[in-house]
Amino acid sequence: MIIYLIVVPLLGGFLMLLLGHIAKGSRMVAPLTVLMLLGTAGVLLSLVPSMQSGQVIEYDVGGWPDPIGITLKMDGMAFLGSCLGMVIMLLAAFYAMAERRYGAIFFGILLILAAAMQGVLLTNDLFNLYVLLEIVSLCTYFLVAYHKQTRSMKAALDYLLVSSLAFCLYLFGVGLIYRATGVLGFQSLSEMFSQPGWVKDSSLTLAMALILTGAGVKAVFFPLHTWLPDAHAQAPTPISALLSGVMIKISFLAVWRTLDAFCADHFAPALMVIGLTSALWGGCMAVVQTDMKRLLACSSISQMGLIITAFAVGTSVGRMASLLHVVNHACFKSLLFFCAGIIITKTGKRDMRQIAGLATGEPLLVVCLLVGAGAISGVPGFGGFVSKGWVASSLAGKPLAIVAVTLAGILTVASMARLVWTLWGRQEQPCQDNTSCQVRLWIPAFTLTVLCLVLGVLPRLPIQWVRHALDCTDAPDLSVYSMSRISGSLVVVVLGLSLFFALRTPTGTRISERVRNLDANLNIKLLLVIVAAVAYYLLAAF
Amino acid sequence: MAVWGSVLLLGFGAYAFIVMDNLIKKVFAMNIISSATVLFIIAQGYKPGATAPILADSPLPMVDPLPQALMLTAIVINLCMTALALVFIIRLFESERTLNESQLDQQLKDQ
Repeated sequence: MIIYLIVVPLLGGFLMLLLGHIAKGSRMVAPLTVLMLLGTAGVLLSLVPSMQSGQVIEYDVGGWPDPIGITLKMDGMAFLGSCLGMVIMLLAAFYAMAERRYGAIFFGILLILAAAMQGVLLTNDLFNLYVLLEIVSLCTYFLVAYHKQTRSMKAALDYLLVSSLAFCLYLFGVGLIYRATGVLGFQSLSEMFSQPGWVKDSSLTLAMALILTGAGVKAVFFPLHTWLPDAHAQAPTPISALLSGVMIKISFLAVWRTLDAFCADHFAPALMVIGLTSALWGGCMAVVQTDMKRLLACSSISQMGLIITAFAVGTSVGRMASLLHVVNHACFKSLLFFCAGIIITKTGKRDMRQIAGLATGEPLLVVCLLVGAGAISGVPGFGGFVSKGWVASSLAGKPLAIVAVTLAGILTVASMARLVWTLWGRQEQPCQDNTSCQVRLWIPAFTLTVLCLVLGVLPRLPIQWVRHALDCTDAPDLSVYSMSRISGSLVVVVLGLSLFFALRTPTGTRISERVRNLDANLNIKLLLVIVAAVAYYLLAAF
Repeated sequence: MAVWGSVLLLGFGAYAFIVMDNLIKKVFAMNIISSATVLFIIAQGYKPGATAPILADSPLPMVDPLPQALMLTAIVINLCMTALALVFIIRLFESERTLNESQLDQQLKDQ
């Protein structure tokens, strides 16, 4: 059954491309795409009963069992990731349909991307993961550059070159693993590595570091994040929402699975360093941006840092916190990208210094943007508060990490304040009232707003999902809305707002300017890939 | 032998990838690196004196067929990446009239 999760969108993608070729400018393509995605979602829904009973569904592609053939495996975590991906994918396809600027090729590639994303979650061996991640990448490069503007093509090219280099290292890692063990399946690898007598020698550690580098480019590990601000900011809005919302999460879940298969406890310090540096550096970059979408892209790096940090702790609370933040971040970051897309359509500008007074006559925008910003800042009552609380509790006993995470929280609040600030203030020029900005564009943003509120008001619900997905029955039930937690988050908000106002002073503006210009060029981005591989190896080996 | 050769090739490729400013040369470097990985993984399945892994009643031992099958896929993927990279580079050249990376960056920043 689970093979249909890949087959249906893949077939759909092929049909859309064919349809675009036969009937040029057909208006049927977008609704058919949504229909295909709904069909895939239907397949997912049919799996709910067996997932609720805690089953793990395996499928041998072509009837060849594990050591010889390719197997797919659907467990709780893959199912949660699949559902999340499907929801955001549907909303992005709907937004693209509402915008009416995209052709059949766009929707065809979007469906192939959906198939590959499901594949990344279901895959059960190292090489298959490589193939599927490369299919995901190929679709992404194309979609980022879809409008054929020079900047977006340059962003896509940078992304392509950086991740090609990293994936070659990944393949070297796969070769080293194969040389040492003779198998590539996650199942066989974890059986082999979990044996007590197995010595993890330096060549295996090197292999794991190389694989982490390759997959880390997709999951934005710290020095490999350089491609993200350009690619996510230059992509069309539905693609930005999809990339920041689910793509990096799905790659992260793949890294999760890989590290589990390697039983790679010795990578915990490396992951902790990666997570904290991502959180802080992403926060610093976000707070100084003036371009709306770039700010959101940088803040994704920071939020991914929190997710990686919680995962690095390794306890069941840490893992649950990590997955919980994956769910929440997917919802609010996609919401914020949709809002940004609507603002850009409405005003024709992306520089936040030139936008003001958006609130006049737009109550819906105010609600959506405030919910999104509140959720990402961890204001009580929204989803982000719950998962950030869990991340903080998982770090108990690590004062340095808590300080870093709090600092990242303050930076997030300050950067979101910059975004929210555009709602008020004097309107210098009247907003160019674009007729293309219609009610149907609002439906995805509005759905996600409701989802963010539900995740915040009913925190038991997502916690239950995550607990079930990870099968963590031993994790304690943390009280979410405690007095200390709420006051802590309010202090972070106040500090963030003061940072925001401090950055508006002339000195603050000058400092922001300087940090913003720290952008690396392509050669440095490529060099950082090699540096990252060496650094991960050294961090794990010593 | 082949393993060290592939590592050497990887070093050359990575150096060229990072240092070259010309985008086409960067794509060449990308291909050198992926050839290095292909060589490396094929070498993992190589046995001296063995024959090709084709079903036959051959008295000789066969080389490990799995790395070869994997690399066939990797070569196809690399072909796609090269093609797409070249498409982007051609388009960029048409609008900016340069293949030099730093010059291209400068022109985009000035716009």
